[in-house]
Amino acid sequence: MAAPATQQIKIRCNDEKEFTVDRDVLERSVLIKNMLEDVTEQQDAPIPLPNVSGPVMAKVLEYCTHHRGEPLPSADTEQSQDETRKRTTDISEWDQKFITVDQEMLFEIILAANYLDIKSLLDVGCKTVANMIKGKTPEEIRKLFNIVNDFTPEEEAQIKKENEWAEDR
Amino acid sequence: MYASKKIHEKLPYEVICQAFSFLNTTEGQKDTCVPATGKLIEAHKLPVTLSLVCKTWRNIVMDLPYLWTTIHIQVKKRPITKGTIDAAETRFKRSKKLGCHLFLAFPFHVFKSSDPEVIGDMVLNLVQPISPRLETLVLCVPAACLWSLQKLSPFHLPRLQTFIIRPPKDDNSKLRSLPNLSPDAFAHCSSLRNLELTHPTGLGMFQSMDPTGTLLAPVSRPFPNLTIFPYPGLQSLKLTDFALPLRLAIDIFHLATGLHYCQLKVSALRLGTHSPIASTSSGLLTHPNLRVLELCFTSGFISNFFRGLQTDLPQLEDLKISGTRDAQNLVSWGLPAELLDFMVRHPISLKRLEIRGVGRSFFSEGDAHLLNFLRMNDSIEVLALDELQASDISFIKELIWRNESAVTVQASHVGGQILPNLKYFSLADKHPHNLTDEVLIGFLCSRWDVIGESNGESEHGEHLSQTSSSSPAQLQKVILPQFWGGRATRSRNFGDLSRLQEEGLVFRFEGDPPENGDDWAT
Repeated sequence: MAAPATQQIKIRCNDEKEFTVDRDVLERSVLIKNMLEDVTEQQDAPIPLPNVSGPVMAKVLEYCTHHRGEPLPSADTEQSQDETRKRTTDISEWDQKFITVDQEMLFEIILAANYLDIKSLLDVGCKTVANMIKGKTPEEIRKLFNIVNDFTPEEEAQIKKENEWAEDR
Repeated sequence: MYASKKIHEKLPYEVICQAFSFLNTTEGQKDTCVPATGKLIEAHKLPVTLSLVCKTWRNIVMDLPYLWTTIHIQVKKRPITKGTIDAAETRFKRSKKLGCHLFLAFPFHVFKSSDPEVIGDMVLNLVQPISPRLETLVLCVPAACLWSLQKLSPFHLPRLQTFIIRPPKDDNSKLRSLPNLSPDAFAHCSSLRNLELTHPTGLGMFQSMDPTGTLLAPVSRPFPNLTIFPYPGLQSLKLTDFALPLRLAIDIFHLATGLHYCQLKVSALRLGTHSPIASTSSGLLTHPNLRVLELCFTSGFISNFFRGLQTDLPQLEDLKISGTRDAQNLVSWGLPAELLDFMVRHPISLKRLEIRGVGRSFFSEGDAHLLNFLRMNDSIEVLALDELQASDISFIKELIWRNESAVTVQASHVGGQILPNLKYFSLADKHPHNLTDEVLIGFLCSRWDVIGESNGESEHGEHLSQTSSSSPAQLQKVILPQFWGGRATRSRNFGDLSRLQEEGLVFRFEGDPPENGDDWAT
């Protein structure tokens, strides 16, 4: 018996770029999944995604296609992770390669994952940012993310003092 | 290239918070499950580092309780002060109601100018307010300070998962036992996963010693409630110079059947020639999860340990046996027959066996047992031997040295039939004159015995050239003493070593800097 044909869904990005994608791939996004469930009748009009550009959506779809069929994180899992905050920054090999992009694109992917509510992709993006920060001094972090030091010398000295009590070397 | 926008202008607040949450990791190490000290230091410094970036980040960090849950205090010149307590309290307040981790370390010499009891009370003042939500408590402080902790009320550590007492090396508290750390509190501490107790002097287990060091009598048990083992979830147990009577420590091992990791260590000087281990448990128990067992005793103790052991260890992968540093002048009985007997009674599939620092003439007396042991454990991938002596050379030859005599057969059996999975073999020796470069070459050549048993060539070079290409050997890495490096390069057989390297065998000499990601067990 032939497998039932997968439903194809059309989406339109903010630069008018359109994609036609298998429904199960798109349903990695909780936002789109909920939209599709709310629509009872078959619609031909593409789903508008005003916060995502075509190039970024292409990357997001690459991720969703690779991870299609994997179980979505349950609310219980997320809650227990949030409570303990004991999370690892390990990223799988494929995800690591996928997320090796320039900083602008990294932020765009994180924003898209946040907007589309794709928890696992958002985690990959946030872990990448965490790994970029890890082991760096405040000055190095500022340089990395183009952040200006807006503390006065006195304010900076005061914050540094907050750590001095713990060591005397 | 810099990003055109700042990260906090580009990413929403909650996303930045989420990225920061991934930085807050105090997860345990692979074997012991105990958070590494380095991780605790990182977690302690993290909020201050992030706060110093800019005002926006400072505001974000102040709102995130989980960034303020770890305190790592390590002072060397002065004891903790009232200011330290206040700063710690401020930090813990920011962590709201989340579980906390406290690491406190200072040396004994700070007492020169301070009253131990006063400092002890300060330690108590630091611990007590947060004790209901403490998950990790590591106290590397003089034992004299710990007495104040007896004042902790029962049930005050309901979330404790990791408890470590590791007094500083210069501790001269002259205590004969650790204080009674509120056993009722621990008796109900069902959350405890990792327990490490180190006695500062090693005298805690015995009531007294006569001038010659002979042990007179064990002390009464300082933790009476421990006779009914209260930690059902314990996964990692590490007892050094036992803070508990030795028999009780063994009882704990027997009863903690959920253990993944266990290390029992006692100094020979504390033991003299006494070997009092005997199991008090009844019936055969099983440690279904125990993967790593480390014993640091004299060999007599190891014998007694395995003689008294009444447990199955079906998952044991890693067995590390090391002698105490001060065991050099004691009689050593070699690898104990009791260990072999134990393996016969309770077959296990070891992947790694380390025997280090076991004292004089260990292998010469115990080689038969070790060879038998190896024959029974063909799953071994890592074999590490140490402290070889002149008298051990025959054993080494039997184990690894290939020549034209009957020894060859044994060597090839070790390499081929007995240890087909061997991937790593480490030899260390403090007496260079004991080992010749023939041994080195022979050892490296023995790798090819795995695939070349039928080869009848007598010259190593010819032997290698004929067999090395037939199939890949399992052995991949070798560590050798530094002095061998120079000798090997002068050896007429050095050409063979070069060829071995070309064939893919990686070998390193002790003292070489490790490569990145090098996970060799040295």
